[in-house]
Amino acid sequence: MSGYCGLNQFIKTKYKRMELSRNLPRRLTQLLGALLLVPVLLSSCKQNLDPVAVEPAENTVSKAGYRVAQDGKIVLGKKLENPYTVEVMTKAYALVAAKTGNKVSESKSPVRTTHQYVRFLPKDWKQYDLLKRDTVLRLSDVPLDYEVEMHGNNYHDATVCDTCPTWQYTTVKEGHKLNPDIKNEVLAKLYIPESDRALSELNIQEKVAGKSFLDALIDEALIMTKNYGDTLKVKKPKGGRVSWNPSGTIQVWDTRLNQFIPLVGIKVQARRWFTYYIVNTNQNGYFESPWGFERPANYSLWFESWGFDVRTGTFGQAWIDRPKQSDPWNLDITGGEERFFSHVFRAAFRYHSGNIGGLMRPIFQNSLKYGAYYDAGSAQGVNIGNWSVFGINPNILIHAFNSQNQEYQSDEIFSTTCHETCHSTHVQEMNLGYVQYGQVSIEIRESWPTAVEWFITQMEYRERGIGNYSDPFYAVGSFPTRFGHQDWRPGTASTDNYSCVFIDLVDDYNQAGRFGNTGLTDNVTGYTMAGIEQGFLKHVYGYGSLRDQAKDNKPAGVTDEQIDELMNQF
Amino acid sequence: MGCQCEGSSNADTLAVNATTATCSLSFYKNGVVDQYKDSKINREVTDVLPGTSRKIDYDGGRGKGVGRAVVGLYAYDSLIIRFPNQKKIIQYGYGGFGKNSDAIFFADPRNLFNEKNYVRRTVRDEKCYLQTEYMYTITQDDYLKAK
Repeated sequence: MSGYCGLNQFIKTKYKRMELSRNLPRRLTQLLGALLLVPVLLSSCKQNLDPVAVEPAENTVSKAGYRVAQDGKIVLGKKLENPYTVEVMTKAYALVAAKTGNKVSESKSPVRTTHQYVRFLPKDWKQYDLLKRDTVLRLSDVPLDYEVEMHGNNYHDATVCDTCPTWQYTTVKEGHKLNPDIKNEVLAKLYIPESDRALSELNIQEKVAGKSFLDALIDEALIMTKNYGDTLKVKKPKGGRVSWNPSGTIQVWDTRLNQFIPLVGIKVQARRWFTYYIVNTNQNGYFESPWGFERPANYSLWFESWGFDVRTGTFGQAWIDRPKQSDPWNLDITGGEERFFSHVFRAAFRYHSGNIGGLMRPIFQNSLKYGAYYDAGSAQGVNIGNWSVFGINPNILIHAFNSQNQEYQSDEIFSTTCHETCHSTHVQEMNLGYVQYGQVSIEIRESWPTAVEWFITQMEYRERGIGNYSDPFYAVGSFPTRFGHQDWRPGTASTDNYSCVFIDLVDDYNQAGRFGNTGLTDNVTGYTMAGIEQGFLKHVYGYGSLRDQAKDNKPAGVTDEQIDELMNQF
Repeated sequence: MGCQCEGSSNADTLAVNATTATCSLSFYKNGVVDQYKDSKINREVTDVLPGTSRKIDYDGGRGKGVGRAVVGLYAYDSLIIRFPNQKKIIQYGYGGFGKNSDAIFFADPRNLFNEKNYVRRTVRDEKCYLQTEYMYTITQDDYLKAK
């Protein structure tokens, strides 16, 4: 449900007292209304969303030679000496040139500042969003010149307040214009020879101890800075370069399907010091970088994509960090927080970029933020609103556990994420946004996203092999996929506001006589989800206007009497 | 003006064994027991000791409300409650079509498939969350009448 709280009524009351409404232009009125509402919204919604404590597991787990924090919190080790500084590279160049018997002249050294290692500290989440919008920057919560003692999926600098964006680290090319409004520090001036055209144009053929000049230069710099583990270990064949291209497959366990499924569209990064390659997984969860490294690189994956990102709760980008390797990274996400993030991501990705049968995409000025809370909430999901005025986010909260501390199934996470996303698009659909949405009845505000989650989740799981998923006889799962929500009836049901009305307009099943003879009579069929959304949803404020709009937009073969018969039951 | 929380509910349906014998409950669809394998619940419930109860159905989801006693069980057409010495009770679900004249049909006040034959109890009632239990009690009289 949206945490909308009757915005329209609130604005009217507020402005009557303030006697502003007559004098302010409409848009400013709306904006002020939004500003006034946000603190109330957040304070009272938060009160209802306080998590139920879930027993913490042990903090560390050993996996394949490196440690992964059970609670996901990355722990840094020692600071490494940076081998790519201009100072170090200048000395290294001189040493390596000397080793060629001065066939390579130090005086022609191309070493200079080619990049800068910088960090930003956005003062608030609005600035953070602004920073993220610069797609040239590959930002990292974790500094790039530290060892990682415990790998995980989130990091926050202890010197920065918990609710504030943490330092964002990145490398920029020399001359890149930094946003002066966002606090930044240049941590080091770098020379990155691997990407220096001037060096490659020197066309140095001399080898040093069997290595190419470039490899020898990098190794020299690594040795000087005591980064011995990063030096080249593999002996290269004569005349050849041995390099490897980051690649791999990312999968996540689905508890409904009881199998691993590919994680599609996720951003995978391979990083060596200050050089990053980023690719997205394809339909098979496979990624492959067209660019390679010659040494091991850190893989990480980021639960973000165009238009949205997933957070580890209220603040903090969700990502998975792993140690250096020079092999493919085949990651099977089996459980825990990472499985939860994955299912929120895949639903969000589908809604933003996948096939959703022609429904509207969520398109907002700022990324939609999904707060993925690995705890129990009084509701599985809540849409706070498409608030971006102060950058106070996330917009959507999803919890992993119910109030009985039972972890939700993968399809339930997927489904709820779709439901909550639909609240945002429903607002988007209404001509005047929240002002108009506020006049929509709770039954419509919840029944429409109920239908959308049923529709999209059904597509997803039928494509993945459950042919009868959420059809009227599908007897497993829970709301609204069990029985395709055809068991809904008004009255004492817990999901009273979450009716099957839109589903009944679309489906071709008449549930009359079922469920102990409580099933509704539904002889209406032929509407489409996209048709409803584009055609008349914006004119629907309650069951009455839905009835009228359904009649005005009825498909061939449907009569007004059938519509009345259906709607009389709501 | 306050914020309307979305809220959620859970309703568990329990079969309570108030007899002096251990019993089991097996739900069938077209002759197949526990046909719809649901990871949340087992519909072949064995060793229900006297004085104990076991969960046989569940409801819940978004919105705060009392839920329903029977939801998933609508998918099944019959039930056998078994006692020691091969005594059993056969019950038919809604629209039950069985031919056993000793069976308990849907309209009977002892039929487990009929929501009307449950007692509801509130377990937790919070501002945004309601947890309910629905209980069907297998009585000593049921046991004595089992054939």
